[in-house]
Amino acid sequence: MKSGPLLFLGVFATLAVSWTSMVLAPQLQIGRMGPKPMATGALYPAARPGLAEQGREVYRQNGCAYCHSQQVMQTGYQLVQFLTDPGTNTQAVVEAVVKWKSPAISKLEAAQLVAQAPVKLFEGISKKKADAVENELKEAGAKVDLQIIPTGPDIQRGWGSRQTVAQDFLSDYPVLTGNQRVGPDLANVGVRQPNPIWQLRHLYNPRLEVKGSIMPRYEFLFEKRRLQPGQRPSPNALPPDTSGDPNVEIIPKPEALALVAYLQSLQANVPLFEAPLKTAKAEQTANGATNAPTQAPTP
Amino acid sequence: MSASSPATLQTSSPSGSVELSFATPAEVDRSCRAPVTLLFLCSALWLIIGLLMAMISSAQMHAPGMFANAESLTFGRMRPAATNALIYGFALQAGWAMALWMIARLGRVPLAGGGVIILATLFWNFGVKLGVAGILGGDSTGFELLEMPRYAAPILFLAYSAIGVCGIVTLHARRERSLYFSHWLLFAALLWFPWIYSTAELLLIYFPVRGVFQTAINLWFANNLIELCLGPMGLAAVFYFIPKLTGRPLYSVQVAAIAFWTLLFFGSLGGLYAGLPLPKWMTTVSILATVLLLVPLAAMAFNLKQTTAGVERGLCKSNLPLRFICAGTVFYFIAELLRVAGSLRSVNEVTRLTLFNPGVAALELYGFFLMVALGAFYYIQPRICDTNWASEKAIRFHFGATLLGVVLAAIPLLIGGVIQGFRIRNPSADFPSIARGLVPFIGLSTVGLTILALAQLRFLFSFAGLLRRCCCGGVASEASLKSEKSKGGQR
Repeated sequence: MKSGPLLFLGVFATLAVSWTSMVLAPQLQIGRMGPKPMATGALYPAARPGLAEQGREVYRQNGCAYCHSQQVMQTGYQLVQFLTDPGTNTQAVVEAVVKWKSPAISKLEAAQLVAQAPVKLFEGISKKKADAVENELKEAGAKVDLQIIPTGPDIQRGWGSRQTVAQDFLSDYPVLTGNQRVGPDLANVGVRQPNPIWQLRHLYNPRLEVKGSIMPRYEFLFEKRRLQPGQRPSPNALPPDTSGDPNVEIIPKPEALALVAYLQSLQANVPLFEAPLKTAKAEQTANGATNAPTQAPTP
Repeated sequence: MSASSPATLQTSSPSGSVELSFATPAEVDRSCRAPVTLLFLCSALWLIIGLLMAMISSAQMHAPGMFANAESLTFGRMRPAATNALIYGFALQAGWAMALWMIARLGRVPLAGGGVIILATLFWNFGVKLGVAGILGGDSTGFELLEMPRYAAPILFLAYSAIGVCGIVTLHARRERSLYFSHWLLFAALLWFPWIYSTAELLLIYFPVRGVFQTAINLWFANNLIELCLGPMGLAAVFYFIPKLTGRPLYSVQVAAIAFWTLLFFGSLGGLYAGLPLPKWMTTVSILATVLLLVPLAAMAFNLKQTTAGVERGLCKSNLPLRFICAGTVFYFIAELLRVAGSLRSVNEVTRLTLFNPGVAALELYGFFLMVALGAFYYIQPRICDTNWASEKAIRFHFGATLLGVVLAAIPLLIGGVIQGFRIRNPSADFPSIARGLVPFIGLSTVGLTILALAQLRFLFSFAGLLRRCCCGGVASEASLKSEKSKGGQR
């Protein structure tokens, strides 16, 4: 090859293809996403409260995302059908249950099951069968509910009730999805660990709360104060056993409080169209939790 | 074809149709002396700083109490500071040093704009210093490989523009008109960097896009920086030095062309992995493109194999620059095959978000890029300084220690990452014990990084000695390393 301009055009065209498909096209598709109304009418995701916004800055500054991801993966889902109300015609309901239940159960067992309503009827059934069961039970006057339960190792581990989707990150800058799991996933840490004192003590010295943890200490987010004889401990100080010395109290700095507020606001568990937890009908009755906690931690 | 291989240029005599006479290698080297030496020197200093920081941040993972009171030395700041020092301080500058010299040598033309390059290099290093200090001070942007704060970015961009323009101008002014494979690769790398860097900076820092699209752009940038800026610069050196030092012309220009265009096309689309909260088509395209990287990899492997067919094994041992380059080439193919494997959905389900990926990155950065850059450096530096290496033994030691360091730094992360992935997938395994299980692997990797850092420190002394002889005109004891220098007509 001799021609410089030809080389330039070729390289430029390849670059343009990469840029168009990986930068421009997604911008057109997801760049204009906005908060969506949930079943409760509130918008999701709501902006995080001010203190949590500040906490995200602390999270960014100190590179928490180099060990903690915020992305729950889902590998599949399971349908679970509930009998919420057997209605008045129990006889017909019991017969329908006996007809569909496999392995087969006796009428007596079915009657016991129906009497426990609301109760789980079928786990892991197909959508087709669920519809057939629903029709029959409805005719008998019963009420049923179908739930979608996401499955996958992350969900079984308790890191979230559904997969993380693009909608969850709309109110964040920078988006800190993380690329490592040296520490646990934090997409739902606000649901998992709502206690702010636990979080603060864990930041001060992770080994106080999790035995054998390899997380670094973040002592610089706290103020260490030696108590003079007769001086009363500060109302903001962490429990006296935190410092290991009864005369030294540990007071969280504003950064620590902000970081904990951010951690508590990490609750990506709202059912969404693209990541449902329940069928549309069930969602109407569910209480929508929001991304944002209503109050800041007060240690 | 024959004229476009550095190994065959001795036979292709300058024809009368060329307006300007070819510059001799000595002329080219003289024009490169100050700018290329400065780039190499700065990159070597950043290499040591970066390795020391990488070593500390790795140690912090098994000594969690380390620097608990020093805000700016905490793991989450040390880690990105190390990565940025290594990529922007060491790798890019070393890559440009090789690129400028190769462009001038292959084009048989003196390097254009030496003074501009020197100024731009100083400016660039100021930007990197500012950026790394900013990260340690808590101004990290939070985007991987783009952590340097917004006030450092314009400095870097302007400094690069000057260096890139000088490279392109030299390329344009080439007196040997045919463009060799290494030329293509270097041209692509020089053009790619400003494009991806400005796109990423503008869309992530200055006019940020919304939501998780930030992650997509971030991963697109990181992938392109490694695969299409650093990758081609290293490969250009591989395809320059292997034919040159073995004395064989490149086997096939057609196969090289296939490799080049497929590498650009597929390499630029990778980087996203399954399970990201992004539209499915994006991850699917990305995985497919990464798997199709097998095409350029196969083409390059075939070309190298045919080029070196029949070359005696001993040459790789006796010729020290070639030894580094060969080791780097092997690491390149291993790292890229692991990258392809890790992108497959079934493998990715295990290796995603584990130490496996930093392991692959370590193979790419230390195994491939560092090795190749050192090989090129050992060849280029004495020529442009017109002197010799003092001790062949020191170079052999440097090679052995670097090889050991690379293996120890990368392999434990790969193994530990796979184990970590399997254990995370088992929901009954308790998480703190999974994390504790990583400690021995990270520990070994820390040892590897320490060896790497010490080896480069020793190397810096040889470099300093060479520079002193270059400036003060001393004579080295062993002259064996410069034997190829006097052959006429080489480019």
